[in-house]
Amino acid sequence: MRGRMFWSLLLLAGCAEKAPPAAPPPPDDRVIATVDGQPILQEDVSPATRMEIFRRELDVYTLLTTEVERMVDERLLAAEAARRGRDVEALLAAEVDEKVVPPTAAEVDAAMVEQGAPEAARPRVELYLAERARIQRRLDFMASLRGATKVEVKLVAPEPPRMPVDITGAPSRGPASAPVVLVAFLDWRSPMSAKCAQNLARVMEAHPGQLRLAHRSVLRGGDELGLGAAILAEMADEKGLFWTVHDALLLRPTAWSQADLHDVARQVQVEPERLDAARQDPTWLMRMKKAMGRVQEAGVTAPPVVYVNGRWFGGTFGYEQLDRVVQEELQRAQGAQR
Amino acid sequence: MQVRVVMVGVMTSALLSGAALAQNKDPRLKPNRLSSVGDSITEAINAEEYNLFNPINPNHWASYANGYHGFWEWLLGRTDVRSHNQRITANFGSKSRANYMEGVSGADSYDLSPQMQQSVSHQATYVPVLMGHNDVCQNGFSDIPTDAEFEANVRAGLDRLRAGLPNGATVYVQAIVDIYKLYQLGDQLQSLGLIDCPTIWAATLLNIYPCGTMLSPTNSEADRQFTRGRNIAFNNILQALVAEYNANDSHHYYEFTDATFQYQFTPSQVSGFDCFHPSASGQRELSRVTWQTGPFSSYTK
Repeated sequence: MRGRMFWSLLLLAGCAEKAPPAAPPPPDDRVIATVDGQPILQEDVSPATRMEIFRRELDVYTLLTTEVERMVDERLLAAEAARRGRDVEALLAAEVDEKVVPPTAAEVDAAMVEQGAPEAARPRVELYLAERARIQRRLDFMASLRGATKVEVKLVAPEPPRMPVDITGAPSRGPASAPVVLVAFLDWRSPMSAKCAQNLARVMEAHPGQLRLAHRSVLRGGDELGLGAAILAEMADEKGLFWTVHDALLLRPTAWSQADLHDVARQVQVEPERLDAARQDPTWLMRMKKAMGRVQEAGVTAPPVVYVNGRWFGGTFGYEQLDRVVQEELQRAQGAQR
Repeated sequence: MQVRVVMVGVMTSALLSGAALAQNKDPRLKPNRLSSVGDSITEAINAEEYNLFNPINPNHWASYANGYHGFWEWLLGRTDVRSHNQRITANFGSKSRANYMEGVSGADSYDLSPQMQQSVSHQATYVPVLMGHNDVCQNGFSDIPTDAEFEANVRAGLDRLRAGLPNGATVYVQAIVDIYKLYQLGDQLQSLGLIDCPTIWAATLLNIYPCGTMLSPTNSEADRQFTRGRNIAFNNILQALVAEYNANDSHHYYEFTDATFQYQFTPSQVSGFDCFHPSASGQRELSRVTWQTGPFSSYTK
């Protein structure tokens, strides 16, 4: 809504300068500019820009959410204090401070054993127990006030944008006509990317014939082996053997080494010496730079990330969450067919 | 309550006598010789780049204090954080410039004294201090220092600066960032389905350096708020000591800001790699708010 208002104001400002003779038709709220009357739509902006806009919307939502919580507490306390004919400080003193029982020596002893604290840390443990009891009492009191009041928060989290992620030239598996396309942005060496690749393999198996999986490599500074893997993957892709490299490096249970990389290179008929030389070859380095450009275009800064029919999915989440998103997209695709 | 009254009393008298003393202080030196004291936030850990082989990866170009934007940063498209270092050059020129980072990841108040001794060795004229996150962020609650311990550590450090910095130097102490807010952001990113921060914390931060007092999945809300209470208590100590030293040392300037604690970090300002440290965008904001509330705020280049 805020976005629409902003664009409407922007267009109105433009209209004010040129003052058309007749009132124009109400502007389409998706149009952000026109060139010789041809519209540029809000959804035409690059995926990276759309992602950045979403991040800003999320920032605003987060600020308001935090503020709302504080203000609700403030109002509940003020109302309760007024009801009892005292100020908020007196109310909290009566309901929190005066009702907290200091920890006993036995409780402190038990906590010290539990925390493995040395005798010298006794004052710290006493402080912790006393303060935590006071805080818990206040939390309980606030919960009781909330329970007795109708609190309705109307803020709505912004929806991540559904983005057209370009998979031209990306290696993929699964039918081209699959109703759900997953684009995985993975780096070759991180355990989290490997875990994500394993979840993707599992979800592909769970929905045979219905999913297409495309891969984009993400490089990280100083990761020579990751660079080597990304180059090998492209070399293998030219021979139709990308997934051999993918499965050998990302679906293995343990981390891999330079020797493992060379073994995989031999499996896809690439001489290890040629692979090592490619890491210094400007032609290959420019190809890698271009590949990283595609990662940036998709708004990916921290892999693993998976786009599911253009929907952002944080690749650190588990299999169940991934499968849920996939099922939602399958249902959506079925609904669109009807 | 009694403690608060006493502290306010100390601060009021300190500020009053400080105002009188300010007339007699040595002329303030230009902040050309910068020496930052701090921890992983000063080192800009994981702000913009993550290293698989060193999960505590310093991104010094993105440090709010010492950051820079040279050829490689330009070439690789790194964020220009407009650090204190850069602002000093812009406002005071590059002549006699020095840019030292004494901050080390994992450092806490016990490291103030050695780090500040380094600042003395470097004859710093400007010492921004952002320390205490690892006092709050510990393995367990019994590891968090008491007020007395924290105060003693800060005094030990400030005593070294008082004894060794060139006359006219400025010490700028910044409040410990509100770690609870950083935790809340991570929690929210997970609930919105964007990043599974608890998984990342478990896989990175918790295994490498401690912040169990805020991030441990076994913590109750009361536990986290206790930790936040310690965060606030330490900031009160920092503020009171800065006022005291400024009032009693005619050779040096001591200033404090709580803008770092008050700052509301947003999701894009938190590292996507560890869901906890400020991102490059967050570091840029740290630099902006601390400069604008700091001793050289009238220098706006």
